[in-house]
Amino acid sequence: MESALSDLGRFTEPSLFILVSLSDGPKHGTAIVTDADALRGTRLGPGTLYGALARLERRGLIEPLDTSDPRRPYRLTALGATTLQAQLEGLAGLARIGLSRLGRVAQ
Amino acid sequence: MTALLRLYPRAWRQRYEAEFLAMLEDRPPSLRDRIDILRGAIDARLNLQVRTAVASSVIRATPGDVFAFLANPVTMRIANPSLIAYEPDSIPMRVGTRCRVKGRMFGVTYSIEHVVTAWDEGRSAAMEVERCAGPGFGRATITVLFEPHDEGTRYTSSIEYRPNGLGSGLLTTIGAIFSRRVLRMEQDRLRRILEDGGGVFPTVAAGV
Repeated sequence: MESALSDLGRFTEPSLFILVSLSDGPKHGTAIVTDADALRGTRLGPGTLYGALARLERRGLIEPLDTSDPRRPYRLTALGATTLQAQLEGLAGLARIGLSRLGRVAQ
Repeated sequence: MTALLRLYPRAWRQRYEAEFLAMLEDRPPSLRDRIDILRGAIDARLNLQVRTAVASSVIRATPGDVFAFLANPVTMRIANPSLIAYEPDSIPMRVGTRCRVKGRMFGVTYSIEHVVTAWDEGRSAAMEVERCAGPGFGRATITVLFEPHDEGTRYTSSIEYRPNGLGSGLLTTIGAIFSRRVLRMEQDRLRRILEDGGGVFPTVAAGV
């Protein structure tokens, strides 16, 4: 299935976690990485985080908030929210099918 | 740490360095993080070849009206007369809709096939270009945003070109320049049509 994130290579999975992290409100880099680490269970590297943030910003999926604080927060755009929803619904559908098939195998 | 950051392109440093350093201050980097920062610098340099064409303008119409005008293949061709064909495989368009587009601009014929990857009626949409023949060879992402504005709608459209092979960097640059002009022309025309009919399609401005 083609998606807005599918061609981001090694940044696809971190990008998805970043979008999920921003789905409950704006966050700056440290807050995103802390949240993403908790969601993924592994540490998200700073180079990977900013590689993914730059791509998401360029695609209009997230945007920085105006601030003089160096800890600049980012928020999800309307397009980012739609993209995240489509992505999560696709994953939920796949999970349902996979779990159902596993159930059949177990029987 | 600043030695590692010097490996990043200047444009990247101007945009991200302050917040990047603030994050590293909050969370001192491990050895693995330092390797990740090095990989990030290489990636940032390779990504310099990505080119984005963006155009934004305010149109005195509701976001829903502007979106609807562009979501309809018939009126879409009125907004962009360079289009020869605009053929989605499902109407109304939605996530997964494939669309074949043919056009001619500045004497150059182009054809692309894109698939809709995000569709939020009246607010935003995104398309992934899967095939492209004409200026801008390579992969591309098209996004359109319709934000409420005091005077109507801020309409922003962008095309991000990503080179997909040796030598395609130059083509993506040409594609981005070409596309910027096309996007601006399309927005100027759209504004004229939706605001006063522009002598082109008067019933649309009246909301018919």
